Amino acid sequence: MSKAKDIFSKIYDDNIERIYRFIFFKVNSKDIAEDICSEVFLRGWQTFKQNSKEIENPSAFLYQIARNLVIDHYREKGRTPTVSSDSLPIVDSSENMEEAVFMNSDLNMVKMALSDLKDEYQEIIVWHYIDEYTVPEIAELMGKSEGAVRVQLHRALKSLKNTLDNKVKIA
Amino acid sequence: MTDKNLIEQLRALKEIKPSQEWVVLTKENLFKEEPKFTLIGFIKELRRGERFVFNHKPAFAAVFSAVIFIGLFGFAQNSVPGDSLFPLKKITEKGQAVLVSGKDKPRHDLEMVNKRLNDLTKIASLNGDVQPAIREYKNSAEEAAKSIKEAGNIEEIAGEIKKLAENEAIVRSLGVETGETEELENALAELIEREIKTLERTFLTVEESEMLAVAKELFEKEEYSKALEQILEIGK
Repeated sequence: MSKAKDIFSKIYDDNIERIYRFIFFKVNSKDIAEDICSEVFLRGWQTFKQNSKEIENPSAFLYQIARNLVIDHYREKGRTPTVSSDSLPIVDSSENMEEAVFMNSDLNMVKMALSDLKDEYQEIIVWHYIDEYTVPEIAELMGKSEGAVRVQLHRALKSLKNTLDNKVKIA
Repeated sequence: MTDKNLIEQLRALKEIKPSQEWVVLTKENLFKEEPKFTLIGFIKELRRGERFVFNHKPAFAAVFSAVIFIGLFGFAQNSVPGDSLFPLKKITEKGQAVLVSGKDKPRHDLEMVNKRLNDLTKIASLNGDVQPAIREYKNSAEEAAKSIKEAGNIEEIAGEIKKLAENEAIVRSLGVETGETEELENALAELIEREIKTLERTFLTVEESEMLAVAKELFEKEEYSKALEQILEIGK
């Protein structure tokens, strides 16, 4: 058990920030992101300690749990993932870096545009540009070829630019 | 916004991260030992168990039936004639008898007669109804009578014959009248007579001849068990 604990402890350290961000961009709430993220690792640990050999790619496994829990979150009480400037938390201080990010209006726009993207585009942008996964790593996470990932990344960035342009025009 | 600017802005979003306190606390909670026992936890486990059993009804029904079946056969081994479980004991005994070789059958059948006499003793000492046990004893004696005629080696069955005489004496001492088991008596008589005749044709010492004379006397008195003991002594 202690060996499994050591291994999962390393998996936790390597993935906690990425999984949190992955969820945060989908739910737009720090508290909800924390709740879901802790549940992701709890479920991950429960599965890992019983069948660690069956988990070939721990990161992909955790992302899948996170994806499912976000879906459950929106399914519960019939919520839909809507993102608008009204739904974003109002930040009036710079207590931490996260809040400081939102103090910057350009960044806030990018963040909102990213949240508006369809899931597959949002995920690939977050993985590549924010979490700094390489294309081969993303290909492994998604179970796709590297070529397909490059094409999707290009389309996702284009879609983000269009969304951002539209937001700027409205603003 | 150029692609380069956009990518720079995206990289700045890396600053969105959970607080270090939360990260540490969540990790601590993750690896906390699970509570050993709580009533709510116990009820949850119980409900989970119920669901599991419900989802695997056919398998559990088969296992449950097998357990009941094995349990019944186990209990039946202590039953005596007249008990409701005694037929199950008989089935077990018949099953075991199938596995006994022809050579061992005389000894096995005499063992069964002794078992029935033990049952009879048990019932009689508890003032129970002895009639079913007497019937079973007679049936087993008839079965043994058939097989001991074929017995090749009397040494192997001598022990059981001696026990038979002792058990019959115990039953009689309890005041139980079993009636005649004529076929078994005749079979024993034939067996001993055959052995006496064989010895008569054999060269014996003076001492052995005297022992054979004693065996003949016991045979005449129908004390077959003692006669057999005497015969076995001659061979030594």
